[in-house]
Amino acid sequence: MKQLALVIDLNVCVGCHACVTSCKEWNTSGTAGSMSDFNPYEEDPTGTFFNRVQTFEIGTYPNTETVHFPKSCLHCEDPPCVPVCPTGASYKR
Amino acid sequence: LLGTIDRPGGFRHKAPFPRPIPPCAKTPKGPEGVQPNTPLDGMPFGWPAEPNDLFVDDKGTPVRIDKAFSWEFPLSAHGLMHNVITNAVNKDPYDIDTLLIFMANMAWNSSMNTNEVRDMLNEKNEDGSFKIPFLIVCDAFQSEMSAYADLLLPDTTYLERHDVMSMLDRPISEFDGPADSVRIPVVPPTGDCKPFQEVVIELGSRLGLPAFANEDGTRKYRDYPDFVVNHETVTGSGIGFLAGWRGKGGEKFMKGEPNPNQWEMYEKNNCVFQYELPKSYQYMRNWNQGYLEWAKRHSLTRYAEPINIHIYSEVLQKFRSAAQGRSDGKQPPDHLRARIATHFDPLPFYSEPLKSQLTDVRKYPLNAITQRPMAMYHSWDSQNAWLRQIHAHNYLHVNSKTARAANIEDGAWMWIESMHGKVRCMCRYSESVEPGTVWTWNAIGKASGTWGLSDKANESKKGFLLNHLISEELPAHKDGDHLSNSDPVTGQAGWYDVRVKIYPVGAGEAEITSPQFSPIPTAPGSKKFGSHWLKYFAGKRAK
Repeated sequence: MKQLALVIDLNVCVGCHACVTSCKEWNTSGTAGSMSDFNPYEEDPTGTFFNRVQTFEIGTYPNTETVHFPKSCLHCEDPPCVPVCPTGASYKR
Repeated sequence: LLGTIDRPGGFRHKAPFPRPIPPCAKTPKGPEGVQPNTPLDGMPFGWPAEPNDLFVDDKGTPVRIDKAFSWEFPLSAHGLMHNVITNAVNKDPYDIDTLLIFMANMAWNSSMNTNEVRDMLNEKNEDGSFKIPFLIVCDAFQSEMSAYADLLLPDTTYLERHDVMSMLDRPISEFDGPADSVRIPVVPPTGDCKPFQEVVIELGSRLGLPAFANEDGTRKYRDYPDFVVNHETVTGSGIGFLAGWRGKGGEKFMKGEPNPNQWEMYEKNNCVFQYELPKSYQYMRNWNQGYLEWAKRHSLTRYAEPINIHIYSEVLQKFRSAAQGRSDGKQPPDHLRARIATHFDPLPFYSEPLKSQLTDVRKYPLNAITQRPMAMYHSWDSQNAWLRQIHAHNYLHVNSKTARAANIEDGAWMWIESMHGKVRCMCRYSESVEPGTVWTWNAIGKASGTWGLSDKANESKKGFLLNHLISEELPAHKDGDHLSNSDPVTGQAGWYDVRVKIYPVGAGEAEITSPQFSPIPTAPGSKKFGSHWLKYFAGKRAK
């Protein structure tokens, strides 16, 4: 089936990471196996995520803005990162 | 002023709003409303509409331990939880024998002046007894607060209990009509954990409180789910916690007799009920006669009267008149008259926060504020393995010009200091904060050894709280020696009013946040930690 990419409106994304955790929740439970975490409750925890939100600033004060940039993998036919978006920034046709 | 209230494209209401201004609920109006073995004569929280509604004795002294609804904070509709421990330890207005805390981390991020509040929780009288003799904490986690408990009631998470987001409280309503929702457990509670709702029902039932007892004194509700289905605001009113699938067979909505299968019907409908109002009831609801009469019939409001928004507030003016000695009825204590007359201006006005007015702002020129990270609406459960990979420690965000002027490098260790204390943390340059303000994420920092994390967790070594810089009381001044650091009208905590200065760390200082606390010993039965991999496999148990 033809796969269309996700559309994410960066003017609407507020950087809540709901897509990040929903993606991990679904995919870690899938047939592809677990997305593991190292040092989960220790110093410097790290782990596998298929989706991360990168947050960065543009410009110099006062002409500045903060950008939240979800980097999703775009592979899912029915992506679990989309319906959890509280602002409607993510969309897939 | 813009004419956009509840208009298409404007600020639209969600049921049960709009409500009368001020809303009808009232607290008791004096100490006589609080009697042993008798239900409270009023609501615990309410909206005073005039001085006679205040919850004070005949001398004008607060009745509540937090001094809410008193002359110090007349319209404190949310109470002043941030002052309860300090007031109890100072026996101001009185001492207490038991403090019960539910899901509030008062020994950490929910308190101002965290260091001293932690000391207060252990403070003793001259005879060696504790100033707060019995402390009950109900929480699902080993928080900083749990460590102080005499009795710990292990709570459940949201996944292990029934909950309602009720039309009687703060439902999930939509613009086009009322909506409410429930939580239904997906896994059973672990060990001896019990949902706090069940604890409260159990307490009410064993005490035989009227709402929880039949006329013959026997127990009325089996448990929380039974209470949710069968409780009515008034017997026979047909109004209960949930608006969906009421009536004996679930055929009625908004109003109807209790339905024994209501939980099952919510479960079948994805735990949500939504009612769509007729189009003619969806707008201008402050003045929409049809809507207001419908809302009154369904007990969303008590009166089908127009709800006018106050630009000039007669409510505020009544308190000001009392302070100026121009009204009969309850009178404020003389030392608060000037404060009330100033702040109960019936028209909006700007004033410098009280805290700033009492700070040497040449010495502490910057404002310091916090906000919750979007990924963690509450600190509760923010220690979980995935969320802590999003934020395990925090920085102080400082405008790059302000930081350079203070000789602080991006990413370097620094001090932030107020008139009450100082905190060592790391600096992050920012272009999106104005030069006179610094900010950080709230409640990422945790005390060493709490929340089931290792002693070495980033949260306790690199994370920090701004709370150490903020006092729960204003410095002594003309209005009083022990006034809460709160808004004089609403009692809203002055979290954002602190003034600070910043400077680099000295040569050779430890690269760790300050203050540090000695690690909380591991509770009996807790898991031990080491470096290891965490992974889940779907269906593993099924095999």
